[in-house]
Amino acid sequence: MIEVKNITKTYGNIEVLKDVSLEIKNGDFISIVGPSGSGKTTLLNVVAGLLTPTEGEVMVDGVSLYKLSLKQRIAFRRKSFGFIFQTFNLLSYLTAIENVEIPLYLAGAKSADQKLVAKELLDRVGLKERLSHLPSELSIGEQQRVAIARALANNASVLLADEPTGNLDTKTGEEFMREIKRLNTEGVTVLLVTHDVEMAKFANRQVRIIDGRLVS
Amino acid sequence: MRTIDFVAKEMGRRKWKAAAGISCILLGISIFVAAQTTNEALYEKTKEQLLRFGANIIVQPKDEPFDAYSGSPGGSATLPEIYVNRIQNIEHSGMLVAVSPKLYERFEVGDVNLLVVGVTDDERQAKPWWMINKMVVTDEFPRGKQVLLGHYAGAHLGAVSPIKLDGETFAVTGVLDETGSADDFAAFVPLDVLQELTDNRRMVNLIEVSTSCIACPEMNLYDFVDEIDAALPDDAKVIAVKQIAEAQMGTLTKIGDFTRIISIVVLCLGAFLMMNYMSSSVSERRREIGILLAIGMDAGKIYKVFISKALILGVVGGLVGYAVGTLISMVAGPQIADTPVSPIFQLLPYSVVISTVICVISSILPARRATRLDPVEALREV
Repeated sequence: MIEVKNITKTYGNIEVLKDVSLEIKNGDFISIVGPSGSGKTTLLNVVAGLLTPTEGEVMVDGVSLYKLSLKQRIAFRRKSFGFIFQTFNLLSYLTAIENVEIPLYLAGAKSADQKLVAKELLDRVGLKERLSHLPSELSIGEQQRVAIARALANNASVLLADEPTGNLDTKTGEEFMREIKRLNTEGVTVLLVTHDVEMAKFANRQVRIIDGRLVS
Repeated sequence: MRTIDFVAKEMGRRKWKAAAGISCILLGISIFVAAQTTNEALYEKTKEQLLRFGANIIVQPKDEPFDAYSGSPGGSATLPEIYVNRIQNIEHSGMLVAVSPKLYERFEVGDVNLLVVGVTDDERQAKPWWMINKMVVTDEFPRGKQVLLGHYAGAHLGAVSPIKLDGETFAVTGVLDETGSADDFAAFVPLDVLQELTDNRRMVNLIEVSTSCIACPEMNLYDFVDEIDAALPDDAKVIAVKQIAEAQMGTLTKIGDFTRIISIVVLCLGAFLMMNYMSSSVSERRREIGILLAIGMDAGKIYKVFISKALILGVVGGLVGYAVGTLISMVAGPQIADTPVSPIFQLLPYSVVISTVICVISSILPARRATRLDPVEALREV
């Protein structure tokens, strides 16, 4: 379970997040919606352990994320979270399978195991035939599916997605969301940041953020 | 995937960028190799030219004045010929070009008072500039009852063959071209023949020593003097021909110093270019580094990736730099040194090691910068 407790984040005099609290249970699928500049990506970064809040704390399964050292926090993030960014987030010089191998390589898995797991994951997202293709040889939808496989590579229990459908057409976006929903039904916790209310409807719970405050 | 695969794939699929990185270090290494290779050729040529000034060490009887060879008649003090063997057996004997014993005697030949010098085969090593009609002396070198005449000695005698020395007949094998030295006025016969003729068996007036290593880092001329002095009894005096020695050592040291300065400057330039390349690589790849940081790349892994890349660039840069530098020196060297330039294979491992060390050191600061990138800032660029 992730508990966001009274988070405030300021940059100089600007308060980007104002006393935000949120509880995300295991297996939940929450979408954070809000207009551009409302603080939703900042909140996601704070939950991910990437951005130290000015006040408040983030607890993940009882561990206070920002009380960990930087090295411990990186290791925790690697083990617990999978990330999906807005498109173009694959390394352009690595093939689909190599991109999925990266989190496993970072975690110190053996080369043979990395290959096995990556192949299995790409098979799971329907890209069995595209293993050796570079991102430039894949459609945007396929690239996002590679990103999903990469996010799941370390058996992450929480998927953090920042505007993952921002660069997709409606049809591809919906396919992508169905894939995320399927993973959620398999037990993966999902925290989705989006400004697209249609995509947000795939979540079990929607949270609105306006001017750095959660309003529902 | 291993770190090395990760780096190799990045470099392999961004060939032009990798080539730009390699060219940074290649520039420094190739100039370093070209300078060293050309310098070596120049050094050898200068050494050969300097050695033509004559022997750089003289061994003579203790109380003999130094000008023995410039024309003093026979009858002067002598040394046992066995001293030649002692000199040939010193610790650094491998660096001796020639150990050339001599015995002098004057003979009346017609109306000429001729200085006759008894020499051994080593004289040819010591005097590679001895020519007959611009050809190196080979079969003309005297054996048995043969005599080789200096330029003016031959002119005075009218190149009459044979000539008589103390009643013995000697066939003239040739007349040397002018050398501009005392050799022009002398005649040369085998040492053992002159010893027999003058009843100076196994004795010599002088031993000339030529060394190949005048200003080597491990041995200079004065070290040779000390080594030879230690190998000989007290009745022998070992002298470095100072003017020659100092001129030789000075010239060769200056050439070496100049090359060293050039090498250091170009290697520093190579290091600077490499650091620039690595830094710009961090700037250009902020987005990518941001993604990697977000998905869990830690500082240790970042250093490993950067250092692996530096190792690849260093090894390839060292190998290619050696090849390019050698090629440059072989093409441009002969015009600078006026002598053929040969590759120095011993420089290859040095090139690779120096190149690799420079690349690794130059990558540390940029790698440190990468570890300090804020992933949130970098991801904003996604």
